[in-house]
Amino acid sequence: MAPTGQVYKMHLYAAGLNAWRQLEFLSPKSSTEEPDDIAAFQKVLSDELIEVQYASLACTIVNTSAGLQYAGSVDDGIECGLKEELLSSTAAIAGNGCVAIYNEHGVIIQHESQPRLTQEGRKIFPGIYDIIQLLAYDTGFVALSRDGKVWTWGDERYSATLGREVTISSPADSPGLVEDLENLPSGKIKKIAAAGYTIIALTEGHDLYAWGGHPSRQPILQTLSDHPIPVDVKENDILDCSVGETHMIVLTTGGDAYTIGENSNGQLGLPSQKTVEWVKIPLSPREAIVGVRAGQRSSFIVTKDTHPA
Amino acid sequence: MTTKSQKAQLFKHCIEAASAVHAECAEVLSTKDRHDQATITRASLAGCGPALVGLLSRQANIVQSIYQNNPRPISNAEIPSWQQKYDLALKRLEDIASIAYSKFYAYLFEDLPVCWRQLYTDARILKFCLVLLKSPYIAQHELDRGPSDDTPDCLDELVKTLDLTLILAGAAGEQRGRRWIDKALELLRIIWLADSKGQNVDGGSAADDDRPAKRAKFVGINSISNMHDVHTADATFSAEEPFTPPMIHPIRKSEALSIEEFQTYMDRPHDPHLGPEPLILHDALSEWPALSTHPWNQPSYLLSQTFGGRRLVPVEIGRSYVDEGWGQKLITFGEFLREYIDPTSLAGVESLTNPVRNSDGDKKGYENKPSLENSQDTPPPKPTAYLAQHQLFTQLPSLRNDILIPDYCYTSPPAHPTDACIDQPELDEPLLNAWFGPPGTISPLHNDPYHNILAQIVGRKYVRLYSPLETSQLAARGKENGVEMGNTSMLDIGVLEGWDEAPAPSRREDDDEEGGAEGREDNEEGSANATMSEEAIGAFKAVPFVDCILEPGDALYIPIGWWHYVRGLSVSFSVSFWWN
Repeated sequence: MAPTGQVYKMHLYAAGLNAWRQLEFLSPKSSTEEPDDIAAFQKVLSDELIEVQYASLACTIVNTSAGLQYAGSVDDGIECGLKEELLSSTAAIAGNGCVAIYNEHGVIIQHESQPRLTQEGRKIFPGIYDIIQLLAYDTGFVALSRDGKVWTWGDERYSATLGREVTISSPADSPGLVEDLENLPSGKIKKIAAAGYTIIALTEGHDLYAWGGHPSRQPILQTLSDHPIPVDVKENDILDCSVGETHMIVLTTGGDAYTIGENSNGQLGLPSQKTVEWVKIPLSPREAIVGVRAGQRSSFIVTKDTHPA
Repeated sequence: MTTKSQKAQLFKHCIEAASAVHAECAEVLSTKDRHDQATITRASLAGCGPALVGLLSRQANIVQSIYQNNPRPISNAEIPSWQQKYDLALKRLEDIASIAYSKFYAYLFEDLPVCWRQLYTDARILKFCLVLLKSPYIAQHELDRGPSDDTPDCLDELVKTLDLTLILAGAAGEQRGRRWIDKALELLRIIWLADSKGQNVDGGSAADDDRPAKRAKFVGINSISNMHDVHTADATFSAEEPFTPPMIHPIRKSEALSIEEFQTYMDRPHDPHLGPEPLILHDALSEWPALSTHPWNQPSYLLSQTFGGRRLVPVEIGRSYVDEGWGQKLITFGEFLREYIDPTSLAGVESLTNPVRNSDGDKKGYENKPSLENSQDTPPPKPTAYLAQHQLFTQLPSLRNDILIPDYCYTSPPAHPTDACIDQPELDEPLLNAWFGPPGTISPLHNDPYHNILAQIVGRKYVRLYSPLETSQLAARGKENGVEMGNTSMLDIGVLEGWDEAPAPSRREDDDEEGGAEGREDNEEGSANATMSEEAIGAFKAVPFVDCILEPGDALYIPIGWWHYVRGLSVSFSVSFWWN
């Protein structure tokens, strides 16, 4: 907490796909012009409190001191009664329409299609306790428990995204532990992120691991494979991380944000078309970066003033 | 101007598409009732969600307004804002198509909701409308008419845009879909043909010389080959056969049978448990234009039917679809002919061909090095490319007219001899697939759930067949990386017979372009051959089989369930007809 009377303002910077004005919080322009993408990180919101709660293809939801603020086109999932769960990462919708919901009693329920949650094709996975994050990628799910265990399940055709052996006793389509992420030198996994065909996991000791890849697409990281491998971001320790469909963004313990991957919609916030090397994002030295987040084709950086307003 | 009316028709065709997309989206968006929406969710665009439908609707509106108000900027002052609007709409249509395309991968093909295929199709149709505006193939004022430098690019782009839709999305959608695309391509073809002839008459050769050499060549081919009476370029594909396997147990041959005789052949098998056996029908394709007046063995004819080689085709890259490194790729038909099939065959129509053939006697050889114009250093030998199991005739209706569905496909064939689960619901009409490749293409030992007439049109193919009664000895695969492969054997006939070297693990040819490689996951088990004992190899060699070499004009009857291994010996073009 800041001392009484001193307010350290926070800021949200955004870059990338903006076809639905999902990066615009400030001026609700009544323009009929089509919105263009944002190619370089732009300040889109300032407030005493900023937490990016949800960033999908077309929609962004940010928690502020004035409550939740929306930008873009509200998703089906948000509209269909899964809002709480999606915002708290206890439910997720995969690119193939499957929905998984964690119900606090150690049970994950999976439905075949969204938006209607029918009984048809419903699967129940019991015995998975203390899930703190349940996320989806294009063809499956990944879940993290409080004690640092990571489960994956999904379409076996993209087995690299599972990051584990697929066996008869541990099939692709039900949650299986990613054993490579246990007993890591820098502590347990404390955060995961997933999108497209890439999954990343961050340890308490600031090491970043990644796995996945699509058999016919260039991977975001050259080193990406079918089991977790440490990610080297110019030899930095990593404080925060997020992944989009074809790009990644991280925050180092030194306070710098780096991006890598495709830049088709300006999601890297850089002029280049794509990058296979991590590139540092230049931002104002008067602000400290406190968090990063990727949408499917966008990036967000949350900063805090280093001096009171 | 003879093409004036076609240009006007194409213009109108585009306006109609844009306004129809806009109207359809508006209807979906106005259906606010979630229950209503839920019932139609998988069938119409509604399943893509309001965000994407809204975005598509806005782009359709922009295309419509550009077409109706000012197809081209009138004054220089208008150019920047017009261009900005145009470019952004083009980008958004690419965004929509790429989002839809990602669903093609995310879902199993049979589960993919049609809405994503329609979304892709409509986005591509609108893109075609926009690109057309910058092409010379559209009705326009005489004012800004002038030799356009980007003409060839525009045509490539126009054809590619619609071909991607036909091949990747199956051109879905009731209102537009395939019907709209076929008509647009036909109008475009008429206009382009007339334009290129006109250019030649007007002494357009000077302009041709200014174009990049590669493009000019193909423009040249067209103007020759499309004037059919001037068939100077009647070179045929090379008949070279780098390797010819011996025939050991020749399949029975017959002169062409009548439909009744063929029905009798199937009804009265030697072995009632086995059912009808394979049969070669000699000279069964005598009526086919593809073997006479519209010769498929002439590259110039095939080019004339493919927009001068601009049409895209899916090809399999790699020796066999079970090998590591195998992948699929979309390339233009021209590139396929020039780079993979037979560079020498284009000598008659191409001024600048200088192929270097890899003729080191390697049995599975014939891996062409690319022609010199492309090779700076010493590129690695090209892998085999095979246009295989593609519904080419749905995509290119004009080639469909060169072949006839054999009468045999209108008989009532028997069920699968051993496993009734294999039998499929009755087809309304036979399924046609094209198989076109250089020497050395391989379809590994597999079986199909239909009876098959394999018609040989160009070149020669070796086929070996094992009866369904031998299935237990043929090492059928199981589910591999989530893909059912049970109809394919682990036995690599070419390797077991010593015709091929065992495929070395190779690096996959990655291609992240849309419609690029659709490589399979590595197959860790690999083929069984590497681990097979002498004893097992001996047992395999004892399994009875029949084989043959198909010549142009032959048709091979492959009964349902018969395992077959097919190997192209020369440049080879076949068509298979599946029926039941």
